[in-house]
Amino acid sequence: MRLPNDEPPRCARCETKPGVKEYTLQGVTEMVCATCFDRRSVEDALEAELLHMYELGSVGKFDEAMACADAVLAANRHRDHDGWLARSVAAHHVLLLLDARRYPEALQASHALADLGFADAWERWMHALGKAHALEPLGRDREAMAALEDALGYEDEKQLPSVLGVLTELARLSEKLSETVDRKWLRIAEAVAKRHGVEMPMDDSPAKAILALEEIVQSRQ
Amino acid sequence: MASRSGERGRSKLAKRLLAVGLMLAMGYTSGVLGLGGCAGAPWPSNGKLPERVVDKLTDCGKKGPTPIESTSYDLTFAVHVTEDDHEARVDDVMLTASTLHLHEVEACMTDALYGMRTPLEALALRRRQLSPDPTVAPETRALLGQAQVALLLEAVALVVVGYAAYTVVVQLIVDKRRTKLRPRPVTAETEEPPVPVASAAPTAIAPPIAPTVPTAVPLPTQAPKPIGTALPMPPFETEIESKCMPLLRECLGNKAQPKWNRKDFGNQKNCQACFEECKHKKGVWPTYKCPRN
Repeated sequence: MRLPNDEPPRCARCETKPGVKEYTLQGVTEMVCATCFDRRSVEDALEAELLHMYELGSVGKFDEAMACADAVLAANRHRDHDGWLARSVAAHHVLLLLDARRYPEALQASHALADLGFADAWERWMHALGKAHALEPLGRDREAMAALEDALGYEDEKQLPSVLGVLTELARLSEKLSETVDRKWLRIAEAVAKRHGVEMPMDDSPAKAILALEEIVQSRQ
Repeated sequence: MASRSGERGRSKLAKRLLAVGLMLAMGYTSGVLGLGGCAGAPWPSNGKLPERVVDKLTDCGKKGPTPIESTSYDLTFAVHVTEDDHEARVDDVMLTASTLHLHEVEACMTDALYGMRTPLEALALRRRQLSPDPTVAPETRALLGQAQVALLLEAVALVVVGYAAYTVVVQLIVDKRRTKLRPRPVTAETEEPPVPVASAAPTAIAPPIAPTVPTAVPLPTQAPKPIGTALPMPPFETEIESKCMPLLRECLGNKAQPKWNRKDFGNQKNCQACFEECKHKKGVWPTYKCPRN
């Protein structure tokens, strides 16, 4: 039992504010602050519909799937304090439109996502991948490469392994266009290799080195 | 056969509810009360029937016996739902077990479950689906005819009328008729430049063939791909989807982040973000932040 003078526990999520609300998921209860409680709630709301959304997509009901995501946002906007839900819903619009092969719309959705801003480098990387995947089928490969290179300008040490997807797409496109990948991106590839505890493959072509790294990393998973 | 022990009935119900709860906890996603489900169906909580249906079942119960002490009855129904691209509907309702043995009430409840015929309710049920139950006997699957996917959900409703308690168990079987086709090996669908095939007959989605007449303007090395709306072919289940969806299910079923990974990625996995990355990276799941444990 806590004595009256005891400090409330720190929020289990942000570890800065006092944990004032109980949050339970899959049998585990933790004390979180009001803001983090809302964040957890909006995450749950979206994840509760995620399988349904993509099942709708798998049978061609892409508009329904997007409406589903929009409904989650509409019902939870009031507690989407940091815009995470709005950005996530926008990101799923991009994915669903790509699945639907509605590339011009996917590109528009990608612009709409960018308009919401990015919380971190990872969000930029995923946005760039989505944008590139929309641009390439439209024959705009160079713009796709530019989008990827732009995103590579942002770093996030914690989520470093995720950047390999951006590097790989850049390398693949450059091979396709017979263009050279700027060697400056090898620095990021080397950091990824180090993170995975593997040697960075050596090759005169930076693109080939990156693609080889991707192969090595995949073979280890 | 009616049980005279209310305690026994409650115990059975508790077991049922526990079973449903466990199934939901074991990795299956479900709707969250009050968080804004997209179908908008009034679905009270996980593993329970819609309120409107429960009300109808209650009306049915009022047609039954009026015992003077606590009495419980167990009824189990198998409800077949057929879903295609356009609608979902309840196709068949079968009473598979009953301790009531009162045709009027049983038939009334059967009708009530038939009443879940609106696509909205059927879809609401479906989206709380469980994965194919390994305990479903092959012969049960055979009953599904052309079904390509059979999903089973068990929902429980407790209907209390006076001293009579009806435990209504509904085993929902979704017969998902896929009209989608497997992706066809059409070059316009790939991300690689189309490979010209001399003998290939032109199709509606074939890229334009560049003229072979000499020209001062360099020909594009890459044949332009169709621009505009979706290609005229049915949606498909991609290899990416088939890789990422099971991993998403697995992640949602075990959201707790392993202790060794909590410092960087918090107590819970961000499954939706990992799914997003998996899709973008063509089926590569980011295990470093959503470990498969």
